[in-house]
Amino acid sequence: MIPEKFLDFSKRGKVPLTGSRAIAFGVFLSRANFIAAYPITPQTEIVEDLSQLATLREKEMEFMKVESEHSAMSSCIGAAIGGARAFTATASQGLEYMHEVVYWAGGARLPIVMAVATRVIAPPWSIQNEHTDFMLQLDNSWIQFFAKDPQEALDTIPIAYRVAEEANFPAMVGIDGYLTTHFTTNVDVPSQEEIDSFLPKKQIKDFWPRTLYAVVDERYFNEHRYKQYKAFLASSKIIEKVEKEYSKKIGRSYSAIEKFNEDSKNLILVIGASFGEAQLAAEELTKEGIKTGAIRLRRLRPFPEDEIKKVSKDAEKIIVVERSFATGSFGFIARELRAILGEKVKSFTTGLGGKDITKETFKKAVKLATKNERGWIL
Amino acid sequence: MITIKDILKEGKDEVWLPGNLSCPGCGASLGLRYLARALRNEEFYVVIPASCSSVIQGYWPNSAAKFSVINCAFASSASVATGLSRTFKLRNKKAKVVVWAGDGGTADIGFATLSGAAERNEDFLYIMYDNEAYMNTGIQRSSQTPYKAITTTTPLGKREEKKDLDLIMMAHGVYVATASPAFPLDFFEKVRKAISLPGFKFIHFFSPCPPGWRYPSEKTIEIARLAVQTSFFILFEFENGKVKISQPSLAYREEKNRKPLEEYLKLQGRFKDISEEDVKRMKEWINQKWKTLEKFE
Repeated sequence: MIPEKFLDFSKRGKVPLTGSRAIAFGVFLSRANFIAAYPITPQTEIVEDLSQLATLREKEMEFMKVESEHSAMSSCIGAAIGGARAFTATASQGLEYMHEVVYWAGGARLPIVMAVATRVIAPPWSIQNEHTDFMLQLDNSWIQFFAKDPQEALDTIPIAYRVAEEANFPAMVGIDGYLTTHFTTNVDVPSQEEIDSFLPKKQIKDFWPRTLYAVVDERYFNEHRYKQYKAFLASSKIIEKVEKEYSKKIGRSYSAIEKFNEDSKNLILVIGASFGEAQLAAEELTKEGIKTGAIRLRRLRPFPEDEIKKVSKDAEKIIVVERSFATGSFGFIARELRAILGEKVKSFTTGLGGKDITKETFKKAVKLATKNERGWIL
Repeated sequence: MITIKDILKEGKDEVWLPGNLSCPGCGASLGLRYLARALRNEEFYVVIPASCSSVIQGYWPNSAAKFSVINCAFASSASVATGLSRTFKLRNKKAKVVVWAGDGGTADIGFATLSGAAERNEDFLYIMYDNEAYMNTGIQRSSQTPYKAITTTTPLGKREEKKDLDLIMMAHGVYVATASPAFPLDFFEKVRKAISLPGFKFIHFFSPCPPGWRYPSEKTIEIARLAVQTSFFILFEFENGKVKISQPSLAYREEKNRKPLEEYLKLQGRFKDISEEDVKRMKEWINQKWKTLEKFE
């Protein structure tokens, strides 16, 4: 249960929140009015909190616990078609089970927002943190953010809604299972008024009588997809504009990548909560004479190709350390970086099944990369 | 009792248009035609999962529907309808939500979703049009395929009996009705009644399929009528815990009054290899279904 003293949204203030609770607050402040979810660890606190928050807005905010993740996303699809601001959260097996309709929401261009509290996909069973679930959703026409801490998690939800509704694509916000979902920090919670001034009411377009998502034959299908592809890429500009506006109204700035000593010849690239450890490793390595910086990929889709090219122009090695399991090629992000930067990208896999990623992990990876090696940090 | 005259008074034009992509004699297309006529005074949204109906409505940019259609993934229709109807309620929007799904999308792959929506008593009408197999993919067996029917995956006839979905839906404590294209006024009335009730409503619509059942396309109504006259398909309503046998089926309560089941079976190629013993077993099943329904009367 959320303590009552946290529930005053009339003024801005610092409140100790877990990442999960921060997400729930972000969803509430965004005035999402349709939430459907199915429980899965480590996502549960997000939806438990939302079920409590929904009681504060009876008849204006629907919360429902449905029979599966497939149904959670399907009912968000129905709600978004009907004009609601829809939200769900899931992880791991749940996200995989949902996958069919995740793709549907992207193709249907519905502005749904979903939080993913990352977790291993079995087998073998594990409920620990890993980004594989999130990475397997990279190409579904969803805008994808990955936040590093509770503060960013909260801020990214209203940003995601604003972007989703302007670009007409759904948006996914990843946070690390446990490292962020269960980690408490003081979070500066914007007031309802501030968020309302940033995120306008959802525009409702009725469609009577219309047919949605009918069969499109081969004369039009390819062109249909091309339009979807172009529109998705164009959403980058909308995201940049919205992030600027968030910074102006709320006072915190976000962009596609976060940088630390990025003019170094070695650049560690990470996603999510490990960025702090990566920065520590970069500092220590630089002191030891191995000049190292770190960058964090905050936006995964649309992939910030230009920003990455710019930041890594003078780097000799890009050390991509990924907490996700991909077989048969490089890591999920490393393969994308190799496509634009080539051989200087070194791919490392580690941290699977909740294994700690510390500054030592990064230091090892950088040292191996300077010897042109790649692979696993065990 | 509503009459054809009453219906024509409301408008002679069709709401589900002719010249759509259905096969000649398609039971599903007839069902959609009656459904659309019954709801013509409403703003209604029909959710259609993967099925023959996703195709027969027409390819973009054409549509046979003069109402709103939301096509959706196979197993998601009851959930999409849930989201839609709850949102309309949030917005105080007076619109009706209907699911129009095949037997595979309802009784097999969409079953968990259907049951979930019924358990939560979501406010929409779910219609299963039952052509007793996966017809859109080319006649593969479903849990609704009857005993001994030949499909492309049961070349020697199905070994199992049809799953009694009506009874399962009755166990959810919701409004349940069965309907047939041979008795359009009965279907019409059930749709109008169901749509006026709050909460979850389920209608099982019997939908003969000429290519799937292997019979000439002009015999759809004859076959649908025989199904009722032999009690292979019994028309009834279940409301507030009570079964009410519908007028067209009332005469066939006693076995001696029913038409011989053989008449129904022999018209269809899918039952061509059926033995006397199998027919006997099917008749027993019909008697059992009557007994079950009578327990709720």
